Amino acid sequence: MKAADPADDPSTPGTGTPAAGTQIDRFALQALLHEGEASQLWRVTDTHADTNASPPDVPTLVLKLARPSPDAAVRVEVESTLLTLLKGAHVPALVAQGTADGWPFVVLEHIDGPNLQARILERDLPLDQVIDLAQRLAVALHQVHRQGALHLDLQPRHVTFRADGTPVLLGWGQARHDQQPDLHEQEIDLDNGAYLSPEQIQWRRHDLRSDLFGWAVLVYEALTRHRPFGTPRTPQQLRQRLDLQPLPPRALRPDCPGWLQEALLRNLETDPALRHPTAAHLALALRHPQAQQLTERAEWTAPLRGSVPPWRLRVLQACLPWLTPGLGRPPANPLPAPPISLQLHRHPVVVAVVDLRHGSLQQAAPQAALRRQLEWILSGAPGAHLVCIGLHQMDAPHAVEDTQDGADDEEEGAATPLRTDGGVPPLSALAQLRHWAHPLAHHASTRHDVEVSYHVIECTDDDTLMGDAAQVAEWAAVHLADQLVALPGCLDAFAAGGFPCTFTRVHAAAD
Amino acid sequence: MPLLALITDLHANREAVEAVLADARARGAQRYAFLGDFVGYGADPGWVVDTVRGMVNQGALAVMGNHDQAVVRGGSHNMVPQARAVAEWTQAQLDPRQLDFLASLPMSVMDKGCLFVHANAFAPAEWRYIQNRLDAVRSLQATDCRYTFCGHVHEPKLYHVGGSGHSGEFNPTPGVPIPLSKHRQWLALPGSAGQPRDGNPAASYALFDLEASTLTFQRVPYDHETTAAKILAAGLPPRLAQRLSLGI
Repeated sequence: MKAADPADDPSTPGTGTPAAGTQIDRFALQALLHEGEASQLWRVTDTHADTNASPPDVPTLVLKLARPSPDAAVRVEVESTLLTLLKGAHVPALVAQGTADGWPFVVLEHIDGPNLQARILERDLPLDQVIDLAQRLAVALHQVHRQGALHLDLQPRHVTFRADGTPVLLGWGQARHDQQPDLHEQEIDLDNGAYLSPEQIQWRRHDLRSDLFGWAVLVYEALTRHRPFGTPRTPQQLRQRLDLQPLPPRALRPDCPGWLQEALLRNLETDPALRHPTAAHLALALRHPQAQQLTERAEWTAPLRGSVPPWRLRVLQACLPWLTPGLGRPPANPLPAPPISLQLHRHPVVVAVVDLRHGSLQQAAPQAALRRQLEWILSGAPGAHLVCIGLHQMDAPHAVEDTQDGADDEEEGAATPLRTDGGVPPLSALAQLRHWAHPLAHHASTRHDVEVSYHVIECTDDDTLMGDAAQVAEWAAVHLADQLVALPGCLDAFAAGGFPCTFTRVHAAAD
Repeated sequence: MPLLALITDLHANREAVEAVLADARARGAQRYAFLGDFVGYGADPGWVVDTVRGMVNQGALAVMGNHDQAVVRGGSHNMVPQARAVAEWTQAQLDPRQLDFLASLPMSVMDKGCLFVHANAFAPAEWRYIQNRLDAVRSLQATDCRYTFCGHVHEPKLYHVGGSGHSGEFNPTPGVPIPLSKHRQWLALPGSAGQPRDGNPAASYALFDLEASTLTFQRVPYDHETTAAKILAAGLPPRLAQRLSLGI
């Protein structure tokens, strides 16, 4: 069944490239900012914009125009589709989309900060900036994962920053979305081999942990100015890379804290199951490093067996690719991929709010009901991170600390005041909280892969219930919580639509 | 080009077809393409054939399905016995003008870069199913049309193939517009209006905007209890009534 000759089709794309001054749709091309293999990036002005507006009110825009090839066109089309669906500060706003001479273009807000590539090339980044970048990037990734999207092409030139430091993810041409066909399902972009996850080069593009691998490569590079696996570009080099261990970051950057090295090496694992399960779990670990369970790799400072220094990596990749097989062919009929939303739902951040004041813990039936409800939730989400938050009166004995089961807890006792009357000192808030959660934590750790951590929030004014709840709500928002669970009372004042996540209020059954 | 409603496998289900047409109209559909199997399984073949014929007279597209062919020419050797028995019952329900309409249907129609066919592009008269991406690629290789719209398979699905031969498949989310790149070939299965089989009893169809090149799959709940009661009252196999409530 043959259609008419495509040459007769008026929609057949042209092959020319525009010059400055050309107008595309309502946008006038001002200056060529970047020319890549797949697209050109132009600074443009909107000829329909209000010409009387003062400069701060006139938005600066960029137009990305696909190069005249079908593969390049698909990238721009994917970017256009994804940016239509994604919202928030971590993605550039989509202003317009269309075709010029048959090839697609998108017009985006122009973010005027230097991108991460420029920052890395400029100088060694201070450690606190790298840590801040690591945390903010993890949050950015979770925000786009929550919207059903995977970026799958994280690299320094695809990260730029708003004036307030918020990272913005660019370069969505390789992305995929739960609600859209994956147009790169059987493709591997060899040009970006340094940042591709092991599963991506094995034809699997559905795993959200691929972006965590990209995060780790990116932060590793920002920290050390080296890429953990060099710059593989051929199928053989990419295949070879699967068997290599990255050099511990501390061997290149001695001031790297152990917990950051732990997070980086964990998320550089070849097996995605050994990485953090979601970007929210990663962000939680980065925000509370003292609560992380560290392994011996946190202390590594020298190359290990299997890890390769940068100079040797270059030699290996130049000389030995012929020893390694290629990447094979994509499967003809791959198994259905689990949606990104399902991957997130299996690993929620569940926050149990426990009121440590007013003798609440002595009310056995409600406390048991709260624990039982949490058990039900965790049994349906065996990869959850359970955060137990204790609400504590400020003038009572306490220990404000974040800990995780198995982590050192040196400050707990130090914060409990000594008594001079010879009596037994009261339990610290943290000890009360851990004692409350013990049956739950024990059950979770023996039956599931649940992580449990503990935090105490100081309540400054016992009478201002709204203030307590606002603190919890802010904590939940900052820590990307999926669900809050509490007994009636402590959060009720804030319950009318104020929480950033699902709120479950547990009522004990009547006797 | 106006918004085009793609409706297939109506299977003599009046309630489902009424619900789908009302939904499509409400969403702005101005043209209609019926991808075959207007009869078979259901108890209202006459009403469905008259409705489709009336819309064809007003400019709608329609192609022949294997159940339509079975009614006018007798069932093929690979048709299941139950379907063959229903085809014989259906034939007795239709008047000569309705049978003439079914007999006059083309196997496929090409229009504005789109191919409309009931089963596939590589052998439309053999009624082979598009069951996986290999079948879909084979069908797409048999046509130069950028877009192929098929019925026959009762589950919504979307396949695509690029110039370099890379292919993909996708289970669509109802109500979410999907841009169909002009730099790939696409094969869309809108799912069955009259007998969905993907576990969702709601009638299935799709809307295609050729100007924007977007395809939106839609699901429309309908009164399947009434449909099932009519099937039982007509003396058709009870299994045909039961499956409608389960969408299997």
